[in-house]
Amino acid sequence: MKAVYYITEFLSRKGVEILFDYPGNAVLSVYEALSKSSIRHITVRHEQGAVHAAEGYAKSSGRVGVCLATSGPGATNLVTGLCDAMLDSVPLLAVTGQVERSSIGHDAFQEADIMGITLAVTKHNFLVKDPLELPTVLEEAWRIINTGRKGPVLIDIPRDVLESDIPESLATHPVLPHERHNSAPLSGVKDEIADLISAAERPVIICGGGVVSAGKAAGDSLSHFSSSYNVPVVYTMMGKSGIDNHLPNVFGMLGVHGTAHAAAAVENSDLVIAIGCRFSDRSVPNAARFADKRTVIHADIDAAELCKNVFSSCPVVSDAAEFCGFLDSLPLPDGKKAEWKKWCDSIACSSDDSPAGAGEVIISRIAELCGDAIFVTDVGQHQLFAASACRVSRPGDFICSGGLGTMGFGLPAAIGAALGHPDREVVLFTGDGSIQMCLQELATVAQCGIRNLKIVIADNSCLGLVEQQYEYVYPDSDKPFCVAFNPDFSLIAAAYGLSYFDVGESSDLEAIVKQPGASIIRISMSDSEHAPYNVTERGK
Amino acid sequence: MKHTIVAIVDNKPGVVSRISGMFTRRGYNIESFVTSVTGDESIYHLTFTVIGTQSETEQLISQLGHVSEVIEVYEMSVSVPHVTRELMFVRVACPKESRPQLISFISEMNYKAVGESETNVVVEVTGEPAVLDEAVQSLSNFGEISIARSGAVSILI
Repeated sequence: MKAVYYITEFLSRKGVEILFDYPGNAVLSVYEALSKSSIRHITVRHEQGAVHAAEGYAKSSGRVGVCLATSGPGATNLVTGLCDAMLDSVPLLAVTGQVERSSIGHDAFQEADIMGITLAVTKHNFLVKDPLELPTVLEEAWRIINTGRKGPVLIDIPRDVLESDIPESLATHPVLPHERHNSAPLSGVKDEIADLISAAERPVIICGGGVVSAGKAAGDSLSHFSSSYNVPVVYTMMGKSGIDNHLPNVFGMLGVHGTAHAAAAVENSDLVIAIGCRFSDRSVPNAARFADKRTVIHADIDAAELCKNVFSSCPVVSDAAEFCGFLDSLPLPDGKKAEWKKWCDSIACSSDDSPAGAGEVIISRIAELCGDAIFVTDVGQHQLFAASACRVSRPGDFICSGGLGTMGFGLPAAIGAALGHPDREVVLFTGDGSIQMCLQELATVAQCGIRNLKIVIADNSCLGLVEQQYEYVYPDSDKPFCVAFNPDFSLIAAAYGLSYFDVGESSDLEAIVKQPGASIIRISMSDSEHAPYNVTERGK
Repeated sequence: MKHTIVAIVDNKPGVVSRISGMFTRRGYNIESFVTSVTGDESIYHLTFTVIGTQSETEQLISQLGHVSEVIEVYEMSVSVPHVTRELMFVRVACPKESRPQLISFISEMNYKAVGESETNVVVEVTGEPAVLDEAVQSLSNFGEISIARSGAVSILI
């Protein structure tokens, strides 16, 4: 069979129902194969939209997101999204076309060394120069994406390879790659962990993105353990949907943009149990000294993350589901529940965050009204307001660009989430700066007839977070850049066939969010409304 | 402090680029990186000499685990029986009148004189890296030198 048909059959066999694409010369044959497959392909308006949509689909569902682009500029337009997926450990497959094999290295039209370019931003990548290798490459790519710490893989396929024949014998019996496993058993440190937890007076759990990635079982075990013994839990931006945010012992996001309660919990802890988190500089600004004042148990599926940023006296290579299940099975001494209840109460009574501004109040109210939605954010102050306001309880119900902080991620990611969950509402919180980075994808919303999407634009006519940070570093300087001009978003909405609402304090928000169909909801925000930014006092 | 690490890897296109790119990305200080063929065409034997602390070295070994072509990684520490050798050429600018002393010294030290011109003598030195370090010091007494070191190759006993 032709290689392109093998590819679509492979994807179908693996359960891929949807992929995001932008066409081009090098991948024309793939569309011929897609037209005969059951896979729904969503043609976006920029390849960056395709990769972010695949991310949003993957982050919200836990399934592999798939995107397709042509050679040259099509492939290079994926790079930011691949880097985003790499940092956030997103299971993602990117397939790119390449010029014919005989043209490689000759600076052909739309040729780019995407293998070389993406070496640093993929978990692995392949250039398929022999069609006979394609079945094995696809299987190997799928395995790499889904094992251990998940991440993006790119397969670059020359046009003539796509159009080549694969023998029937290989097509039906591909040579499967042999697997190598590197793991250190949890069993070797179980007693030590049990002793450390039993002895702790002020333990805190940090729920990271690895708990989300491990699926519902991990979060359920963690929620049950922490509730059973009144162990305070804080979360990273990526770990927010790994724990039921409604639980009384969950104290919000830690770190530079975190809550006062989370900061108090971590600052005063004598034991930190970090699960599936990598101690990024956003979560723990003073990583080098973090372990000075407390013992750290660090469980992560990736051995390279242990002791990379923060010293841990008890590092554990473990899948988060296995580790949370182990915690939930621990028999702890009598009296710990009551002891730690007092510890939780002391955190709850600690200092509060600054009062919310008018715009943040509206964001909070929208989040409350849309309680069962999948929340997606872009990057900026709105993201931090949303991280505080949204209450989620299922993995993948809060999605953002965590590690790379990619402005423009939000709209295409929300599209991916909306198409992956047509039975659920998706609410995107974005800013006037972020939305304009991938604004063209409103055409994808219209083209696909997406109705389960609310786009909430926090419009302060500036790049709020960057300016807030600039003010902090250079308090005596004038504002160095100006992006005050914005289009009339009502006209943008009309141009793409979306409903539009301008909301203020007196708006009937409930009626607005309950309006059926996709809409843009604009909140006019003051540029003086700042997000939490704790670089000196909190997060130590 | 210098550390010697050996990685056994699949001989797949791009594997050396992938690993060297990882070193750059992570900011590791690599003194040498030697790629050696083995008896098996599908396998390469890589030897790295890195400069850093023990914890940086452990982190580097963990990061190598991310590269799917890597089969095994060993740190050649004192507790691991191994052999390490390196080859070096030293070109000594040595006029003919002082050449007998240089040739005598080469013989005494079990080095090899492998090339001569009107103005220069090329000396080959093979041994552990510390032996090469000493040779550089002592040969520089005979005139201006230029050196080319192959980088250490190490193998488990």
